[in-house]
Amino acid sequence: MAKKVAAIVKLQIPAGKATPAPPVGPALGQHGVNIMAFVKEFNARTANQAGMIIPAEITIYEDRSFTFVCKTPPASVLIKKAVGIEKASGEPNKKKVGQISEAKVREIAELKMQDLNAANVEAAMRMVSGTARSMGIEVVK
Amino acid sequence: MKEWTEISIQTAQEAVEAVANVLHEAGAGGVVIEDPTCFLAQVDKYGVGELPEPLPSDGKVTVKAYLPVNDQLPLRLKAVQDELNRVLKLLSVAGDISLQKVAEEEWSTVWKAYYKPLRVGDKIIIKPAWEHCQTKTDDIVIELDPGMAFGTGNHPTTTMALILLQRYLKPGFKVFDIGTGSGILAIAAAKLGAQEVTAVDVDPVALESAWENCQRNHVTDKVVVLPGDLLEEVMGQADLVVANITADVLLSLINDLPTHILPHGVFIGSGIIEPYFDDIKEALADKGFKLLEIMGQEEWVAFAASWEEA
Repeated sequence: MAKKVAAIVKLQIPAGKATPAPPVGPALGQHGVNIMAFVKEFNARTANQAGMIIPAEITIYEDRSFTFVCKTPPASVLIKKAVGIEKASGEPNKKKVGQISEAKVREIAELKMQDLNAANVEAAMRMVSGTARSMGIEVVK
Repeated sequence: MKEWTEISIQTAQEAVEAVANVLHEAGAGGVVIEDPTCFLAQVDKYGVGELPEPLPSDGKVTVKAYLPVNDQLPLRLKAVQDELNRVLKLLSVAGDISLQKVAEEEWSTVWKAYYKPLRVGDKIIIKPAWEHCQTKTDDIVIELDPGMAFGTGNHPTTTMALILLQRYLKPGFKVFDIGTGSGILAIAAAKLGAQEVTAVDVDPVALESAWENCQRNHVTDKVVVLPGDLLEEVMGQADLVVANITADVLLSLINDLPTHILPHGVFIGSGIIEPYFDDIKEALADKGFKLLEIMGQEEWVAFAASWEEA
């Protein structure tokens, strides 16, 4: 029998720059994980992706050992990259900062489908276009 | 102790990425996502008996971020809350925003309960400062409280560096420990007979922890703890240089190392993830290092090399 899972924690943190400060500290520390061991391992694995925000899913076992997998960057980051902007609109209702095509939304949705826990590609697309709209980006045909 | 304000937003799955983006843009330095469906996704992989019970089932996801408590906090919090409300409204999704103060001690020491004495190689025993254990007369006991610095002794990178130190360090050696963390390798070097150890780190938390651990182990007459970036502050040339960092930092260290290591001196490197080891090998050969030994544990690689001049 495999080791019993105590907790699963998802983080989105800058590649190569994890520190024991929040959010890593409290997220893992409260489960008894040695925080610095995670920090070292995450930074070692993501050093070559500097500047990106990387989601990591950490599985913590009953003996407080852990494993983790790194995922593709968050949908918001992929959207910003596709549109070519740095920051979302402060007033997404009134001030639009860019447009994204439905095809691009589908592409991001397919890439992120597993991470988003979406039931199907249409559901993932709804999440991605919702995220885009919340950032002041119009989804166009 | 430092205090932080935890902003916690409980909302629907579809709003998670948008909410996370607001927090990232507010400069939170990262977010935590607590998602009960993650557990369900693991059921197939592990079987229900291996998952915590009861399984969370309400389907709501919680996104959390942390801002330090300081003068700017009220303004920052208001801006974040306004932005979150705007985004949730636009997505027509409900979301409960709550705030809570958290102090570092609430989460920074829980791991101590799981940190137990361990033997590394033939002679070294790492003993948490608050634990007791039985030892043999010729055991080398290192008493440690790593605090928030890296180096408890049970990480593969530290274990391998300790084993290589036991193999290659000879009494009387002058040693540099680059990126000392908790000071564990510097203390081991002193206890294995090094005459003089210089331990450097860039991180103030590590420096404090290293110094305290040196005092705890009565090696302050041999170990000097210095703030500094890699070889910047070290003086002279060493018989042995040990560094447990990451591959990219080791690469820049190797570049400058020949001016700080004696001919035939030993360089022990650790903290390398297996796919990056080829780059390290190339850099070592390029600078005139000859590999003496390569070790592997899980996905980690460590090595010992001697400097034979370029």
